[in-house]
Amino acid sequence: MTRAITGTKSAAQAHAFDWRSLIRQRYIIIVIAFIVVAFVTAGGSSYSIYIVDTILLAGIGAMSLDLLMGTGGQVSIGNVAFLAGGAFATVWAARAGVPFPFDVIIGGLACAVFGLIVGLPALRIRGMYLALATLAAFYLADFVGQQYQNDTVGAAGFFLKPVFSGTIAQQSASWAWLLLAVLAGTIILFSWLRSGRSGRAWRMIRDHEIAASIMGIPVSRYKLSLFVITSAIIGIQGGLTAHFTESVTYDSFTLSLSISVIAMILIGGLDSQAGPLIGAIVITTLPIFVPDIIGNFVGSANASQDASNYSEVIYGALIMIFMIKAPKGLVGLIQTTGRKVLSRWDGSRTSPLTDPLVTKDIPVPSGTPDP
Amino acid sequence: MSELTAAIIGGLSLGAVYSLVTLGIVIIFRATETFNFAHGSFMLLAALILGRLQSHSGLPFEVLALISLAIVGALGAMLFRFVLRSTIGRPHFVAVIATLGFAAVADGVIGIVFPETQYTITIPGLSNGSTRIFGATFSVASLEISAFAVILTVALVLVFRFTSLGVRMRAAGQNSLLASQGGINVHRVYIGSWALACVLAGVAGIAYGSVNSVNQGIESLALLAFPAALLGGLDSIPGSLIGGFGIGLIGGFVAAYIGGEYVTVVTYLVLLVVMLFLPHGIAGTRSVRRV
Repeated sequence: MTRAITGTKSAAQAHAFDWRSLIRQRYIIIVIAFIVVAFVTAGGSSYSIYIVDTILLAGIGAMSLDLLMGTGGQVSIGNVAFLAGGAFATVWAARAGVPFPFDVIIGGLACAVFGLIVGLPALRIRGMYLALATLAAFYLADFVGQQYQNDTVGAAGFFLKPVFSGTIAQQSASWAWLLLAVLAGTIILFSWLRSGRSGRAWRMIRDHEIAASIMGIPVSRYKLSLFVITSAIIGIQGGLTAHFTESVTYDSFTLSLSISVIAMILIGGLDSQAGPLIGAIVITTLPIFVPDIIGNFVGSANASQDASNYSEVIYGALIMIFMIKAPKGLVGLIQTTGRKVLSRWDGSRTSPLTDPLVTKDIPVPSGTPDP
Repeated sequence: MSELTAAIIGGLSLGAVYSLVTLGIVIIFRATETFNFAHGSFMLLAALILGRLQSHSGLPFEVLALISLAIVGALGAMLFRFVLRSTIGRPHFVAVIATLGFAAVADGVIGIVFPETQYTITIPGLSNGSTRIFGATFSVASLEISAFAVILTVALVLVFRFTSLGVRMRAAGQNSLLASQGGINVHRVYIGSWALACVLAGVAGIAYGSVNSVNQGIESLALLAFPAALLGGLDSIPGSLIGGFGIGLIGGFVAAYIGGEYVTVVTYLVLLVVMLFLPHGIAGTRSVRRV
């Protein structure tokens, strides 16, 4: 009897702890990102600020894809279609005379509509078939972008005016603050969506679509809204990327770019707050660290020349390794290791009795007298 | 008239290569219910290895082709044995994403090992020159290659239909538990299917590369074989012929009458239409669920 009471109590504690840690985690991530940006913009070289900018941009996209694939279970390998869609819609709006932040918003809205269209097949197609259908979205976006570009400016691509003034370092620093604001907004929006009713609905649809519809969850509406939200954010990322790099060509949106974002969310850990951001850091900085590491083996000249190839090999291998060995990614690995360390440190903490799932009274064999 | 013949014969000759690629995709799907998104990498890899060997060594073509096909087949078997085997029992897309990871690795390795942008393959015995059929000009070599691809595909379809090897493969894919109870070594069948499919991809890559040049374009050929596989019916081995020629003809007509840049996007729109309105394809089993 006492055992049962302690069990329930600790379960309640565990539940309350989880809830608070969820809230805390989202602000901790934003604070860490803020500190990093503040430090780098204050004292870093323009190159290191540039790297932080690319990580922040990649983080926005990775978080959206994670919401789509990790939380919603909608497998998409054509996500670069929305990146291209957002970039080209932004270029179109900017050429029509729309000033800076609003053309990016138009890009996001255009991608929301595009996402709605791509989401329609998802009402009937699931899993790896949906992955194939999203390839169609990729080829469609690629084709439309290519036609638009060839009809207006030709092979060189579009060039955009710089958004911020000042030296390169100052411009990059302004970008870092802007992107940090967008990233923080995305984190707050997504964690709010995830922790509430919609998050439960999406996970239920992911785990068992038929059961979800039986429980009265409007499956189609939730699936479409998931596609609309994530595509809009990826579209905004595309528009920001267009302004950040100041140039847009259709051949920069490749399938391997799509695969690299998938690598980010798999390495970081699906359906988690910090996972996609950790993955974005790993994958974005790979081409920077790889030449130094590989250079020890093959000579530095070859290594820097083939840096992108080597990092492609590494992240491809990481995708396979994480898929087989650690499906929950780095976040999952950290959690399991942390739990193991804790249990060695304080055995009672992870004893199965305090697991929130094991709250029932342990059945006492009938022959034994009750103490 | 010349446009029509160009569309039909050009489409059929490309369709022959598509059927060979599609057959590999269908074999892998029948055996292990996975899409192999690395199929294009296997095609390109075989063609590149052969192209490089031919430019560096004086061995006869047959030996070099066997070497490159053996390498590709072994890689396919290893991909299944060491990576995909541990994804059995998990959601299907897990294995699909793993093949994407392999494609990324292969892409990177190809960039490092084969630095030149273009290689050429010469097959001894292919005719030179061109011929005119109803006003359109075709190279004889590409027609010969297509004929070879069709003969090989048809032969394999017959093998799978009528020999015990084919029965074993189909049984292992349909119900692995019952098949293993019936005395079939299921894992050997799976590994064999992967190796065979990747060898076929290699043959298709070499065949296509011998009449065109060997470059990254070969990889996109494999991505066009997925619509072909769905059109023919993903689980239908004879369907790979129907799908391959269907997509080849669609591509031929689009290229002749609308423009070459429309081929990919039209092919993938066909894929969407097939998925939504004809989910089992032309020759596929009706009960195949898209879940």
